[in-house]
Amino acid sequence: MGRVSDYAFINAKLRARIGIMRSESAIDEMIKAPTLSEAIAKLDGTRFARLAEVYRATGDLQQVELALVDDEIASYREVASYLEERSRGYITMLLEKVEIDNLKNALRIWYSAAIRGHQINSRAPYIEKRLIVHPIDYDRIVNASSFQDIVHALSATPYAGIAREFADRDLGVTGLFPLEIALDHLWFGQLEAAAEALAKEDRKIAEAIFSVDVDLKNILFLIRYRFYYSLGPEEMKDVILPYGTIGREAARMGSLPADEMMARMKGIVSRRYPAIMEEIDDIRGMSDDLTSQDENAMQILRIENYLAATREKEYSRLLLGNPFSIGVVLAYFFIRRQQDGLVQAVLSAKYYNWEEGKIREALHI
Amino acid sequence: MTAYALKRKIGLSLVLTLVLLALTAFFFTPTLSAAAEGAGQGSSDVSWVCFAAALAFGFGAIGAGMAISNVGSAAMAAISEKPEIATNALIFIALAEGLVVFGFITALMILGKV
Repeated sequence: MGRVSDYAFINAKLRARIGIMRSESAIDEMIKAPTLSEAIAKLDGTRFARLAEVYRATGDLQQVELALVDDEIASYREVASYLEERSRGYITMLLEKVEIDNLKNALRIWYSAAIRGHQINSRAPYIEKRLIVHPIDYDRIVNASSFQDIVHALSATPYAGIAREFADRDLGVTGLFPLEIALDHLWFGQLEAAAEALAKEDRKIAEAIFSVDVDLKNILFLIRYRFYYSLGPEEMKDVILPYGTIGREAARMGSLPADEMMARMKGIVSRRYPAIMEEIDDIRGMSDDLTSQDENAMQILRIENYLAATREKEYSRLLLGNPFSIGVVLAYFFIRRQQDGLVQAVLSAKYYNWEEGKIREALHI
Repeated sequence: MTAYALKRKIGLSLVLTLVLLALTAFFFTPTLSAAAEGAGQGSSDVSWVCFAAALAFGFGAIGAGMAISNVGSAAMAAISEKPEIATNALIFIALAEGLVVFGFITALMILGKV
């Protein structure tokens, strides 16, 4: 009775929305549109109608992307408001990922200006400056004269510890990458803790999908950073998230030499996700015998698309499960993010005058 | 509506239903009892019959209330997003509503025995 009353209202609402999202053909029509303005016009009458309004008012595609982030934040808040406390905590944790991504953008702008000496005036306005989950002074971060300013700006957030940890490091040498990875690690850890607080059935669902998410993220890290950015095995140890099947195994193998650990992890991926491994082997993604940067980028894109398809299958399964569980909510956010990403990608492609065929090939649609 | 508010409403509905049941029993049992005594039956038997009828109707009403609270809220949520499914949604609400009708008919049948 409790679970039914907890989820009856919100899950019916979200299922109806999912049905509408799946039946809309706006993205297909956008791809076919000959110009950016015509592509934008296809958004009228859909849930993206506000984006069309923003574009007409500003003529600025980055403002449209910002509006998309605004809508995403609003959707998390709306859904969370209908849920009981434990589930609300989990959804707030998902919203925190939007905050972390926004924080990373702010840090990149700061890095670009303070460390690289680039002009940031054109990028600074495209940061979401309103409250997402924690109070963060984004202006202070973007305009920080030293990393200490950033530490102060993050003092009332869970990111304060990480900021303090990086205050003594020379980011000019290491880049922002270790800091961004540390933020990702923090978020995954918090998400796992939030899942543990859920009701029994919700916890099972959240943990199962969390495990797949982390595994796919770790596979992507392995491919992207080990083979594309050529990170050494020792550095990879710090990158791999210590959750999910792959991450937990990696944590257990912590004492092994890094090379051996990498070889064993390849074995784990082969056993747990044989289809992914076949795909990777097929395009030589896991081999050290790489060719040009462009070829590598295309390989990474293919693997990313393949991993995205695997994720999609896992999330689609949630819709077939218990209708009175957090599964429907998670599936809704997944489908929504996926569509937001597609709209964003198609608009960017239209901005650069990409042909329909090229867009379809890149997006696999 | 949050789950907490929904639970409060359900709780309130239950209490109100029980109060109504008690009032019904209080007002109608003496009348029926007098009628039954006139017909030569014991007042205690009649009380039990009335109580059974009240239970049949009362639990039917409570069950329907609980079902409609969930089905209705889900239906309203779905209709607010997709108005074209209103007819389908109302059918499900009517199915839940059927519970109280069954309870009512059963209560009438029981009372018909007096």
